[in-house]
Amino acid sequence: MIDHSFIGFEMEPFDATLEKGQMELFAKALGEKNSIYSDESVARAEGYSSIVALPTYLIRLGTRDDLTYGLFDKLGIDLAKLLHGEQEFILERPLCAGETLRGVKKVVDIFDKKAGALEFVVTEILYHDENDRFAGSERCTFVIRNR
Amino acid sequence: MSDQTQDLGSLDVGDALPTLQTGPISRHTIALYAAGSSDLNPIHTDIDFARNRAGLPDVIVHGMFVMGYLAKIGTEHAPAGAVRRIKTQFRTMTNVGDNLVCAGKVTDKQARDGATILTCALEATRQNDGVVVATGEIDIAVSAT
Repeated sequence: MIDHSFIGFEMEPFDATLEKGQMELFAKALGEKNSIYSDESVARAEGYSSIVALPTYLIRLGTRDDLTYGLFDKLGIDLAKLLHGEQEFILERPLCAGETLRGVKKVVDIFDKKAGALEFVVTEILYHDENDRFAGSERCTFVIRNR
Repeated sequence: MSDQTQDLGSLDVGDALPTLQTGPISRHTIALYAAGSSDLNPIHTDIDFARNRAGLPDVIVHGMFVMGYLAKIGTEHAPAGAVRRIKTQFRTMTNVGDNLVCAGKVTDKQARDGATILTCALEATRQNDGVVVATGEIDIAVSAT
């Protein structure tokens, strides 16, 4: 069982830059047809400094070995038992390539169901921009299958 | 672009949004998504791990790929920044070859923070057997009509 004292555990703040090439590949992988997410000239014509991040691109910023696998290791979670249960993003405004956000990841809940056969870990990352304004957030529920 | 925004703005509670279909999801698509998202979890990228460690017949599709597809309901027909919030529950694993139908339906429409916000229920359904693999909700800012 995962130690419930990790509820409230906050990881070190991290900086993440929205990288244009990666955003283009992300849009391509999803087959996004709105070119404001992949074509700089289109984005600029619409008044943006560069291509805009797709809503779910925010997941990329928090996908880092130290944050992702680092937390699994700390909680003692076996990757082979792990499933993604639920995900939410809140987008305060459009985010453009080249911006750097500061994120803070926190464990907000740990609980189990079916007498421990399924465990749930809820994490949240809050992002602020270079002016320290709230830019967006993600909330993720992982499921650990203990059978 | 603004014409399409007008289209979404004319929708009311109960109306359906344009449906999207993934087509059969290949291992190549999974690999592309792994690269674009940097989610290289071996359950998505290594068939040996999927079989021998996770007890699955094959690699599985990223839940986030399915969510990304559902989000397109709000990105392909609206300007950047229109999607204010999106939430998805992953109901079951999505497998190689699955062809998902992604649908949205308006459940609420109200003025908020100087914009008109459409709240829509989302659903990704496997085409061959009708199993719902993911459900969710999206808030899209639209031009008032």
